[in-house]
Amino acid sequence: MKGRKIGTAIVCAVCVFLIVSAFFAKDFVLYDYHMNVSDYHYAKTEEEKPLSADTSVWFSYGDAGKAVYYGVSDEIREENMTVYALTQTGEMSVTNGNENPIRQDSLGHFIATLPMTEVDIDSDGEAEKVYDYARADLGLNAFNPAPQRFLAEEIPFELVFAERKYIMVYYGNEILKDAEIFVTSYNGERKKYQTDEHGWIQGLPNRDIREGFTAVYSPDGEVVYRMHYALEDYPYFSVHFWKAHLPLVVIFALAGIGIVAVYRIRNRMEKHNPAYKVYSRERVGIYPGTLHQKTTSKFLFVRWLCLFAGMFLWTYAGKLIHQGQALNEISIPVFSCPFNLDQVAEVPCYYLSHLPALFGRFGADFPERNIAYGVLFIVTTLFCFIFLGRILCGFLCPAGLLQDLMDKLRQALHIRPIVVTDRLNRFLQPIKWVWILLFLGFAFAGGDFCDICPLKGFTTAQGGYWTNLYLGGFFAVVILVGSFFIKRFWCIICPMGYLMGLFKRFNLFKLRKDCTSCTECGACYHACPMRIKSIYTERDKENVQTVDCMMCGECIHKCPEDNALSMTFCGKTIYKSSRKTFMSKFSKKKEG
Amino acid sequence: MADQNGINERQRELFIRKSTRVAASYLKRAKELSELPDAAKPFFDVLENTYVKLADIQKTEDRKSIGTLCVMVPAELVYAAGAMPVRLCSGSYTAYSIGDDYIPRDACPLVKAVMGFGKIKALPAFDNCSLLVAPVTCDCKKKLAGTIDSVKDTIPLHIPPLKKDDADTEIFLKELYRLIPLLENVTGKQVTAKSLAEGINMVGNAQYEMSEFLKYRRHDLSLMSGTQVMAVMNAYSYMPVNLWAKQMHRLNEEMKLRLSQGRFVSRKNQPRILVTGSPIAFPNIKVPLLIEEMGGVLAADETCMGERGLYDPVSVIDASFDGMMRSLASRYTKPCTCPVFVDNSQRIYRIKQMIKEHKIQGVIYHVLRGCLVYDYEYQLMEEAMGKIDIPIIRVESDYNEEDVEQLRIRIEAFIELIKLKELKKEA
Repeated sequence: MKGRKIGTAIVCAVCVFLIVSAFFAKDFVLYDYHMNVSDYHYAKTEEEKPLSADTSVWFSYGDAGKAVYYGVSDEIREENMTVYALTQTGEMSVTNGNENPIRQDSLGHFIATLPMTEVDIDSDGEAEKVYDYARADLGLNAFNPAPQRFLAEEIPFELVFAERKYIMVYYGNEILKDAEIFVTSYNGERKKYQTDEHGWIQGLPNRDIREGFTAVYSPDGEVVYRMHYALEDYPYFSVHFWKAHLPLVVIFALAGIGIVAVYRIRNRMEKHNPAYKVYSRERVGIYPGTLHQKTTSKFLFVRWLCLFAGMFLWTYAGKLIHQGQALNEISIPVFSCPFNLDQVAEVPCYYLSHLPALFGRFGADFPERNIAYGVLFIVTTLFCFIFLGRILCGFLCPAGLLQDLMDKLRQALHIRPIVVTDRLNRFLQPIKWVWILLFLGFAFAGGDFCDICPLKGFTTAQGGYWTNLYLGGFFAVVILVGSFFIKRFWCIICPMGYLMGLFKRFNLFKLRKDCTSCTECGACYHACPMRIKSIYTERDKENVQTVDCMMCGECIHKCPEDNALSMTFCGKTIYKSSRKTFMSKFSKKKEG
Repeated sequence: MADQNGINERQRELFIRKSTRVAASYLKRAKELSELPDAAKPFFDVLENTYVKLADIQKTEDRKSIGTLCVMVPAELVYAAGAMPVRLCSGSYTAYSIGDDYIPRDACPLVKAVMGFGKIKALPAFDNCSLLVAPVTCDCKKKLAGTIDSVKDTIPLHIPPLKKDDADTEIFLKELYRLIPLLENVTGKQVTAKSLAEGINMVGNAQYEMSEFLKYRRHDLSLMSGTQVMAVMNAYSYMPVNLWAKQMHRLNEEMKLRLSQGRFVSRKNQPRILVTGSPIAFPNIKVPLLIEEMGGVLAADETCMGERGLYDPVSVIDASFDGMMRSLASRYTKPCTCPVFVDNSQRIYRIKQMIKEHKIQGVIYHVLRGCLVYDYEYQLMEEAMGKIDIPIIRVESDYNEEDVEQLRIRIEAFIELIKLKELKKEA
C-alpha cells in the first residue's frame, strides 16, 4: 500500500513536470548548433549547376559543407557583388567576396546583390533596369514563427520563406499583395503566379524551393527585380551531413552513461535481495548465445525488412522522394521528421501536434487555399489511421526500429530487462495521457510539441538535417535508456500510436484468437512488448486486438498452440501460431 | 531389529516381496493388453528396474538425484544444476500401507505411499535422492513436505495459489531463485546461463518427441494401448530426460511404421475415453487397465503423471538469465491445470480442447480417496461436459485391490453407455 502511494506520487510528479517543462522546453538545450559563419568563405563556383534561366547569381553549398559558393556568369565580375547576411544583431553586408568575413552570429540567411544592369528583358527594344539578387537559407530554424527577412533598403524586392511551401513576397518593406510574379522553375519552366492578400505565393512545387527558382517582378515595366531563391540542400556524406549526426552522438553517449548508471543502481538496490547472489553471477557481456530458441519466421523477417525499409524511407530517402514530387504529399502517421522539419513536405505528425495550423489551413481564413492538398492530406491520413492503424508502429515506425535494436543489443549483452508488470504498466498509463494532451492540445496553449518531442532528433539527424534539440533531446536519452531495459518503452506511452489504435475496429489487419486452443500458458503476454494481458486471459471473444496492439506478431511467434493466435488481412489468415513450428526448435535434427 | 523408523528387517523383507509382486503383476497385465511396441520395452524395463528389481536409476552421466513431488518443479533447473530430477509420486500399495501408520486416515494414498517409501528405505530410486523438492500444492502435499523432512532433506517450494497476476509469477520466480543455491550446494556445480539453456534444450527435446508422439496418439484408431502410454509417461520419472527422449524418438519411428502398415490395436467402434483427475502413478494403474480390459480405448489422459507434465513447452522470450528464469516460472504455473489453483477454469478448457483433438466420447474422472481438490472440481466438470453432451463418470479408488470389482462394474457400465449412445446416434 505504501509502495503504491509512493508510485502514484512519482507518476503525478512526472506528469506535472512534463506539462510544466513543456512550456519552458526551449530553455533546456541539449544541443544547439552555432553557425560559425567564419567557416564559410566565398569563392567563384567551379562546378556546373543548372542555372536558372533568368538570373546570373545564385548560392549553393559545396561538398565540404563549410563553403558557400556563389556563382557568377562570365560577364559579371565577382568584386561587383555585395553579400548581405542576416545576423542575430541585424543584417550586415560584405563586399568584395572573401576578403571580409561575415560575423559569427549569422543566422544562415544570405542575399547577394549585383549592381543594376540594363538589359532588354521583354524584347520590346527598350532596355529595362534589372536588379539581380540571390537568396539562400541555410539550415532553417524549424517552425520559427518570425519570417527571416532582411527588409534592407538595398534590397527592395525580397522573397521570404513563410510556412511550408509558401513564399512571402516583400516589396519596399511592405508585403506585396495581388501582384503578378513570374517564376522560372529549376528546369527552366516559366509560370505566372499571383500573390494573395497576405503577400504569399501559393502552390510552388517543393522541388523548386529545394533546387532554386527565380521570381521576377516588375512594378512598372521599367524596373525589373529578379531574385533567385534556394533552400538548403546538402549532399549526402558531406561534412555537413556528418555534422548533423552530432546531436545523435551526444544522445547516444548520454544514453550509454544512463544505461550503465541504471545497471549499477539496480545492482546496488538489490544487494539485499536473496536472489542477488544469482543475479550477480549472471554473466554479462558478449558471448555466443547458447539457446537454440530461434526459429525462422517469415512474418518476423518481413517485419524487420519493413522496419529497415521504413527507416530508410523516412530518413535517407526522404530527400529523394520529396524532390521527386510524387509522394511528398502522402501522409503517413509515423514520426518522420525529415519530411517535416524543413517545412517542405507534409506529415500528419506536424499537423496533429499543431492543430491550429491544420484548422488555419482549412479554416475561414483561407477557404480557397489548396483544396487538393487538404483532400490528399485527409484521405491519406485517414486511410492510414483507419485501414492500417497500429501495424504502422510495428512495421514502419523508425522509432520502433531504434527501440527494437536497443532491445537486441541488451539481449546480445545478456543483461536482464526491467519487466513491465501489470502494476508498473498501470503507473505508465497516466504518462501516456499527458503526452496525448500535449500532442493534441499543446499548440492551443501556445507551445510547440516539437520542442519536447523525444524522437525529433533521431530521424532528422540521420537524414542530414541540422536539428537543435531542446528538452526533447533529454527525453530522447530517457527513451533510449528505457527501451534498452524495456522493449518498446516509448510505444507504451506514445500519443501518436494511441490515436492510430483508436480505429482498430476498421483495421484491415486483425489479431484473432481461437480460445478453444488456448492453454493460458501466458507466453504471448510474456512476449508482448505492449503488455496486453487480455490476450492470454481472454476466453470468449475471438477479437483480442486492443488499442495498444501494434501487430508485431511476437505473440503469434511465441505461441505453442495450433491456430490459437492468428493475424488476418481482410479476413484471410496471413500468419498463425503452430505447435509444429514452435516445437521444431527443440528437435535434435535441427541442431545436428 | 528395528531401525530409527521402527521398521525391522522382517517387515522390510515382507514389504519387498509384496511390492515387487504387485508391480510385476501390473507390468505383466499392461504388457499383455495388446502388442507392446518394441521401442516401448525400454520404458517397461525402467519401471521393472525401479519397482521389481529395486535397482537404482540408470543414468547416462554422473548426476545426483533430486527427488521432486509435483509437476511444478522445473526439471530444466535441476538439470542445469548438474543433477537429475526423480519424480517420487508413487502408486505403490505396499508403501501406502506403511505410510498409513504415519499419516492421518483421511489423507490421500499417494502421500502415504511417498511417506511409506521414505520410512521403509527399500526403493533405491527414492533413497539415493540427495534432496527432496516438495512444492506446497494441496494440503496433503503441504503437510508431507513438513513431515518427510525427518527422513530426507526437503525444500518446500511455495506455489502461489493464484496465478493470473504478475505479482504471483514474481513470487514463484523468487522461489526458483531461492532454489538455485540450494541445488548448487548439493551438486557442487553452478547454474549458469549456458547450463540453464542446455537444461531447457534437453527437456525441450523430450517435449518435442512427446509432441510428435501425441500426433500418433490422436489417430482415430489407436496405435498403442493407452495404459502402455501411461506406463511410458510414468517411466519419464525414473529416466534421464535425454535417454527418455531418445527412446521416445524410436517409439515415434515405430508408430510411424505401424501407421503405414495399418497395425492398429483398437477397433473402429470401441469408445474413446479420456481419463482425468487425481494422479495415476505406477503401479496404481488399475483404472486405465480396467478401461482397456473392458473394451474401451484410453485415448488421452489429463493427469499430472501423464501428459500434463510434458505438454507445455518453455517459451523463452528473453535471452538473459533472468529472461530464462521468468520463462520457467511462467511455464510451471500459468498453463498448469492443477486444481490447487484458486481459479482453475482453464482445466475445463484444456479438457474440451483434448476432447476435440482426440475425438473423445466419454470422460472418466478419477478421484483418489481423500483427494479433495480434484473432487471439488468434479461438479464444474460435470456441468461443462453436460453442455457439450459428453458422458462423464466419477470413480473413486484407493491404493488397494479391494475396490477393483466395484470399479470394473462401473467402468463396464460406462463403456456400455457410450456404445449405446453411439448406436442411438447412428439410428
